Amino acid sequence: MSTIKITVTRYNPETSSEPFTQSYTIPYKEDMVVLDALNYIKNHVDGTLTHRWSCRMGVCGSCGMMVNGDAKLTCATFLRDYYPGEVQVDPLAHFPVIRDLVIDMSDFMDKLLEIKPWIIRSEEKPLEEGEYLQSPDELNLYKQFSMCINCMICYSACPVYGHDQSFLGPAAIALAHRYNMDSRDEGQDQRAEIIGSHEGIWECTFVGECTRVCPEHVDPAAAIQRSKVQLTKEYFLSWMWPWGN
Amino acid sequence: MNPQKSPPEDLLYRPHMSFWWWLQKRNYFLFMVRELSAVFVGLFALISLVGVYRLSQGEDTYQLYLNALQTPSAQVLFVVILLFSLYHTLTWIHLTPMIMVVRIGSKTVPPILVLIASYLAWIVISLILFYLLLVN
Repeated sequence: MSTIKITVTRYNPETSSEPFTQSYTIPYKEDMVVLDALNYIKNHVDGTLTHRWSCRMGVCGSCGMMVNGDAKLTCATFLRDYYPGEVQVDPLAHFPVIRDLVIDMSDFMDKLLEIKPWIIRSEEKPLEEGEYLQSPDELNLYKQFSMCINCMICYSACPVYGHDQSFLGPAAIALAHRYNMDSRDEGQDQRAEIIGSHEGIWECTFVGECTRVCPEHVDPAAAIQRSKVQLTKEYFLSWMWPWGN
Repeated sequence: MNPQKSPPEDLLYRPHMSFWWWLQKRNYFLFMVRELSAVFVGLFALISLVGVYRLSQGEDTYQLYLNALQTPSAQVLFVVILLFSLYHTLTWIHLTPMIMVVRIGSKTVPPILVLIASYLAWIVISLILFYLLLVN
């Protein structure tokens, strides 16, 4: 029977203040993903291993981890791409670790709320007037940015966030851009205060790795740069055209 | 809004980013090269400004400046500046379609056309500058 060596970063604050690694040799099958390997270890080898997962099909965004140094959804990362080599699994980079492979996502969740990821209307129209209509062209302006599954892989790949956790970060800004580009939304000014702040888009140095690693092919780097262009344009327009349009 | 609750700070392990993070991935390294290339673009602008200043001081001073640019070390520096400037220009031109969404009416212009237009603008402006500085 073929086997593969999986090395996992462990951290237990009750026994040690520093993480350590532990290796497991487990049966290998060609159709196994990294998450299958972790579940095998958890169920058959070492029940103390702690990791986060849910849907196992690339939808929930729970199982993001570092696989051989790259931020990946472990449910969509096949062992065969590394076999017969070893696989090293670490918690998502740049986030505080709670235990083993489980990171503390509260900073990200707070940032998501900050950008008000919902449709804001200056005045809601009465229900009897029907829904807010939108053309396919208008939908296409923001659709790809709405595909984010909040897996935080882009944060793990972002050296700016790695250096400074006050940075709003790729996914939150991409989501803000998604709502700003939505023809039904009127909340751009409210979001501009957040994304235009020092911790917002101007922190981004356009490394672009967030876009490359996104498992859902969202383009956060584009969202951030387009927001920079948009806010700069609005700043100069407000200066040249102070009475508004 | 309810801020998310973190576990107590003393139970968390906070990882630190290595100083050598930019050597850990090819894309990080290329990003750093792109950032570094701006230094060489700036250096060229500075050398050109010194040239304008020397010109304002008279023909002899300007000739000394031109002679200094002809030395082998200056020639090597200009080759390095040219290579970094080309890298800077090409990387930013290739990022332009990602940044600029051009809309005509309700339709979005395909990114490849934005890229081609950027290349054309670069070539045309370069030819005009080449004509003004070297031919004229």
